[in-house]
Amino acid sequence: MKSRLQLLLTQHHVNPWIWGTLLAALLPLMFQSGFFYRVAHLALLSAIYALSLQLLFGKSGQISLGHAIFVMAGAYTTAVLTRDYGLPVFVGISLGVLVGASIGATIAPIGRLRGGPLAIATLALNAAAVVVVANIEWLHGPLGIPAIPPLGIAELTIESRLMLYYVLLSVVLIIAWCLHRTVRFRFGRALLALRGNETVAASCGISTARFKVKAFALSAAVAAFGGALFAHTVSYINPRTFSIELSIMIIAMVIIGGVGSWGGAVIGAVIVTGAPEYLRIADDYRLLIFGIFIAVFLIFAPGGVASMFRKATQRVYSALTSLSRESRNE
Amino acid sequence: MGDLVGFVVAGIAIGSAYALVAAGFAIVIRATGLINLAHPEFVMVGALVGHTTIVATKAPYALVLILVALLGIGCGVAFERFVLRPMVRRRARLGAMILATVGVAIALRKGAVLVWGADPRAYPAVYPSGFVEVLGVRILARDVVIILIASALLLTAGAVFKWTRIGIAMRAASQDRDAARLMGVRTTRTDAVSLAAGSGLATVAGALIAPIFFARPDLGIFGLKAFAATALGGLDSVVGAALGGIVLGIAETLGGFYISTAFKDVIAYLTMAVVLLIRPQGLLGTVRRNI
Repeated sequence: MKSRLQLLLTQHHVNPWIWGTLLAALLPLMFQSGFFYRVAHLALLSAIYALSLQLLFGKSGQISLGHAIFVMAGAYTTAVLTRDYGLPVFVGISLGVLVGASIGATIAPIGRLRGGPLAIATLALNAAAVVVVANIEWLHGPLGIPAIPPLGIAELTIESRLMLYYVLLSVVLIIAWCLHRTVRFRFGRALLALRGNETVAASCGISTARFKVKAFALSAAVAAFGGALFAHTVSYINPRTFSIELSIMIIAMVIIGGVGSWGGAVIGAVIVTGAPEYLRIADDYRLLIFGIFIAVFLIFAPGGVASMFRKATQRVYSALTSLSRESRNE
Repeated sequence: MGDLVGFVVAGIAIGSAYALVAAGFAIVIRATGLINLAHPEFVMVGALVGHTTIVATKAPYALVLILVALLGIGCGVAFERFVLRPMVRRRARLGAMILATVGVAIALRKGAVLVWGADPRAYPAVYPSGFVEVLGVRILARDVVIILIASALLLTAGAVFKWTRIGIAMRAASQDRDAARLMGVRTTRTDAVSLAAGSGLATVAGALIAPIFFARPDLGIFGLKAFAATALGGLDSVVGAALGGIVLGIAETLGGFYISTAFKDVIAYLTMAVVLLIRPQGLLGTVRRNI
């Protein structure tokens, strides 16, 4: 018979999702500053990007250092359509997702590459995309697009930052849940097979090329959705917002959080977005410290936060089991 | 016509600097499998240290280049010892390795701002001024010097890679790490040598181009073009990477002249993007499984 402590420590009871959601929902009680909301909004938006990359990189093993391309596609589509052509916000966002998905499907053939070459190819494409967008007149060139309308449906716009916080939080949770469910079915199994061994996957009857296109398109769609929300949240975008630094930060979220874990992606997004902001006390040194932190963290814990968490709970669990066994023996 | 040839040569000069950085990057990938995103920052380090030395000591430029190369080699060895080796030992995956190099890159860039300040610094005149006439075409003497130095370095690197014992060991390690180790190749040593060579090429390239582009902490952007060059030429091919650098240099110089200087970067990157979408492995690369 399991002891009570053991029961308490089984996955169900320490489900980090429930506690994490509860904590996130209660945070606005403790912090009300404008600074907190700005960082929190950015962190939640980043969590969407990180989740989308987790699907592509963590679940199907396609490393992308160009995810900002898809974010940019979503942000620019909805910004131009809603501001310059006066379309409703939700139409702009939907079209942004569509454009993002089709760009994802277009560059999917690049998935013939693997590992390092894929990383560099996507990185180079991202650099290209930024330069090209900065030179297109009707995308407002290098100066970017100001005065993008806020989120909302028809007359009902989200004005309060608290409201926006909860909207973004629920979006993150819904996306995480949807992606989690998707991966449980045939599609996700095929992706996991791709990550494991492509040749074996192909010999099991999985059309690797087709699934890569699907994975790229779905991941790009989610990232573009995040990008569209970003555009309406911050109301000003320019090409440099989506430079390779953003792509690198997105992959940093996934890896620091833990490759293959949805919760890890969200935690990684919070760490990578929040840490540099809260290091502002150190001013000039903040990015230096952040850079060194990333390097040292990964040199000593290449598995990320998720694997640290897993190891820690296992350790506590086994310590407690041996404790209870000893007490029973006495 | 004379114009065209002149611009092609100018393109080759810039391109050969790209080629140095790109070849160094590709050497590291070939031999260690590491995508070193801190690589472009070594270009910046080379440019700034070269500037400080030349201003402080008035040493001849050739000596400065050698000093900067030695610095790059030192950086490479340190990088292998303190970043790559601990990660290989912990069986870090590719993504984590790439990201650790990003951390180093951020630290280097911000560290450079703290040490040197963010303003660009101009070199004293180090290149011979004026033109050289070759077959009736006027070429900047500066371009000739850059092309000569770059090609000498690239040929030396190629020869080392092809004929020396350590070069053969490096190629063996790049084909199959475990098999090479079983044959008595010390892979930590081949890693160190290839990182040293790669960063050495990058720092020298930095000191070579800084008199044109100024020495400044954000010179790593120049290295970004070198990534594009490597992707264009083929990531697992050192020759391809060098070729990609030269193609990129020519494309942007010609595009800048015949279309518009504003579109210089657009043309360089579009060339690369088109090649990548048609032939993802790059011009001379192969689709390899295990990098």
